[in-house]
Order: sequence, then C-alpha cells, then structure tokens
Amino acid sequence: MRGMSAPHESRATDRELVEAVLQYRDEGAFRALYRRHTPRLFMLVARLLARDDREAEDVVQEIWIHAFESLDRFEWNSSFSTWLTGIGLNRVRDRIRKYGRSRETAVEAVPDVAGAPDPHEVRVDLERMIGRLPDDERMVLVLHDVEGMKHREISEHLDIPEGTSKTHLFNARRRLRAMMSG
Amino acid sequence: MTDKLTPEEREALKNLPRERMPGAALEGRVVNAMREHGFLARPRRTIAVTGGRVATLVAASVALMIGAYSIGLHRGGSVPALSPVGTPAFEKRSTAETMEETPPPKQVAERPHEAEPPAVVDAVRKVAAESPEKKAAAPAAPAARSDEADRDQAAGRVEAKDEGVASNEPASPATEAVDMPPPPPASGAREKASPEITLKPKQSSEAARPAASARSQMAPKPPLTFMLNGVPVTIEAPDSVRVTEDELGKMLLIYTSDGIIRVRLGDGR
Repeated sequence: MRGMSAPHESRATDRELVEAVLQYRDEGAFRALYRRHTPRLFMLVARLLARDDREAEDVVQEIWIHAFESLDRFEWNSSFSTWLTGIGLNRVRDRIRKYGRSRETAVEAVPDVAGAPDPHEVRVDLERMIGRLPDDERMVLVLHDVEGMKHREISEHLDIPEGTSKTHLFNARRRLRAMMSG
Repeated sequence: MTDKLTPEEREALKNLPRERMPGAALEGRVVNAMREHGFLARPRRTIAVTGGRVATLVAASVALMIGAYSIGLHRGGSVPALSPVGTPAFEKRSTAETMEETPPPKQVAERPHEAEPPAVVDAVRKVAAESPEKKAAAPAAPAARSDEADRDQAAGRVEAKDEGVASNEPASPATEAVDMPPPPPASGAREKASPEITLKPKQSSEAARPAASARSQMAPKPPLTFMLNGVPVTIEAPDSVRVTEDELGKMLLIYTSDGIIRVRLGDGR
C-alpha cells in the first residue's frame, strides 16, 4: 500500500487507504481518501450550514481530523462515507449550537421563481430558499428530502426525538412551499 | 396544507447537486493539519540538483583531494601507507641500516613522543638509501631520532636487567645469545615455561655485553639455534629473542606479534 501510485489508490478500498494512513502515515493514501469523500462532505456541510464556504471548509477540516482521531472506534460495520457523514453532522450541529442563529427568513425576501424556465436558475433559487430556512428545519429537510435519511437516523444524528424531526420536516416543507409560491 | 412533496418538488430536491469541490487550498490545509496531528509523515526535504550545486560539489571534492595529498606529501613523503603484514618491521632492520641513522640521542630524549612506527622508519630509510643526496636532508632526521630513541631506551633496559649476550662476531649455529632492540610493548603477554629447554650461551653476559656506542656497529645476526629435547630449533629472527635474568634464573623471551613468550631456562643440572 505504501507508495502506491495514483491508479492503485483509485482502485483501493476505503479500508485499504485508511490502513495505509494508519500504518505508514501515507500522504498519498490520505489524499486519495480526501478526494474521494470531500466533495460530497463539503456539499452537505455547506448546505446544512448555509453560510459562506469558508466556514464549511473549516468544518470539513475538523471532520477529517476528528475522523482519524477516533478511527480506533470505527469497526467498519458501516461504510466509511456514512461514518464521515455522521461525524460531519455532529460537527455541524455543534457549530450551529455554538454560533447559533435564529434565522427566520422573511418570505418576501425570497425571489419569485415561478415561471422561471431555466432549471439551473430553479436549482439555485431552491438552494437559496433552503438556506433561508431556520437551522433545525433546514437540517431535517436536507437530511430527509435531499440525503434520503429516515426520521430514526435523523433523530440519532441530531440527537432529537423522531417526533421533533417530523415536526421540523413539516414546517420546513411548508415554509419552502410558501417561498416558492410567494 | 400537507407535508407531502409534490412530484415536481420531489424532482427539484432530487436534482440538487450532491457534490461540490471546495477551494483547491483546502486539500493542502487539511493535509498540513493531518501532519500536525501526527497522522501523516512529514515530507522529506529534497535538494534540487542544479548545475551550480554540482559544480560546487566537484570543486569542493577536488580541493579536499588536493589538500589531503598535500598533507600526505608534507608529513610522509613517499612513505608507503602499509607495511608488510605479519612481520614486525623492527625484525627486518639490518645493522647496516641501523648505522645510517645516528642522530644525537639528546634530541630524542627531549622529544620521545615523536617516535614513529618502525615501518615508517624503514620506508624512509629505503628512500634515503636510493637517493644519497637526500640522505643528509632534514626530513630523515626525525625518523632516525625516533629509532635511536628506541635503541637507547632498549640499551638502558638491557644494561639494567639484561643478561643476554650480544655478539659482534658471527656465532656458531649451535648456540647464541642475542642482544636486540626492544620490541614493541606486548599486551596480554603469555608466559610459557618449559624446563626441558636448554640454552647455553656461548659467552658470558658480562664479557659479551657491548657498549652502547659499539652496539651500532654490530654485524647482521645469524639465526639462533638451540636444542629442544634433543631437537635443534632455529630462530631465524634473533632480534625477536632475548635472554633476561631475574631472581629465579634466566629466562628466554620470544617476542611475537601476539605478545611475549617467556621460557624459563634450565641451568643444565
């Protein structure tokens, strides 16, 4: 594993790469892991935080450090990607609680996307509308409707009851619909 | 109002991008952070090989070689680096060679630490013999002085303790006692005594002991032969043998590369 070339790294499994990092402190293996998982991780964190990208980058860096600090607790019962996502959700939740904002976006501030023919514009506007949801509601909406998680998983990751997760989802969809129709 | 998504809403959310590359600098930041936490090895420093650096290295190497060669010329002249293996150099010196080096002993006494190994002395002596003009030159003097120091120190020891017999005339092959320059100090000397060895010096020690000044005129010593259990034993390097006497009687000392072999001599009774 040590000194493996880029093609080998791309074929190596997550577990092989992680072991190369742990055993040989192989930078190439880590870079392969980083490039494989960071784009999805960064997108999720940026969408959940709904702040500037720089903050999302800080969180991504924290996620990688924390992941390798706690690798001895990872037993490979789930995928490495899922495990990274769990760490990312904890970091986002902690950061929102720490620097929390009570952001209730005014509906009138949301641009009117009705009748917009360009799907790219619709997507951008949808992203902006999601970003204007309150933090708790946005996190549940993203995890449920974008990432496809179940309420049970969301309640575990965000450390909230399942009923609270469902309530947040209901409110989030209602606000989002109101923004889109507004 | 329901919380169910319409197909359009579901499609819109489904089409949201799932991946996005962060800034290019983030990878470097994360890698550095991983290094700082000890999860990744530190990168090895590499030195770019440029033409200037190669030229500097070559120049430094040449200067080092020239310097070393100059020091060698200054200190050792054309002295060979190695002496023959297995035979102590002092055993090979002939008396004629010894006679060529007669610097004042006083100088030697003042600087005994300048004594050089016999191998070096021999080599210098050979060079001097090849070029008579160089024989009188100064560089040969230190080596000769050191050898003379050895001999004078040996003479002092011999006069104080040695009962050995030094002969200026060729001795019969049957018996001979020898006087010799002192061998190098032996460490871990072994003591071997054999009462069956009989060695009968031809001359008494008092009569045969030469003066220190006359010792330098000795002829080359023939091989030393003695009888051991009725068998003649010949020592072809008599300089390696010396007879001494202590309170218990006479003793034959044989200097070897491993140390001194001490043989207690019988008195023939």
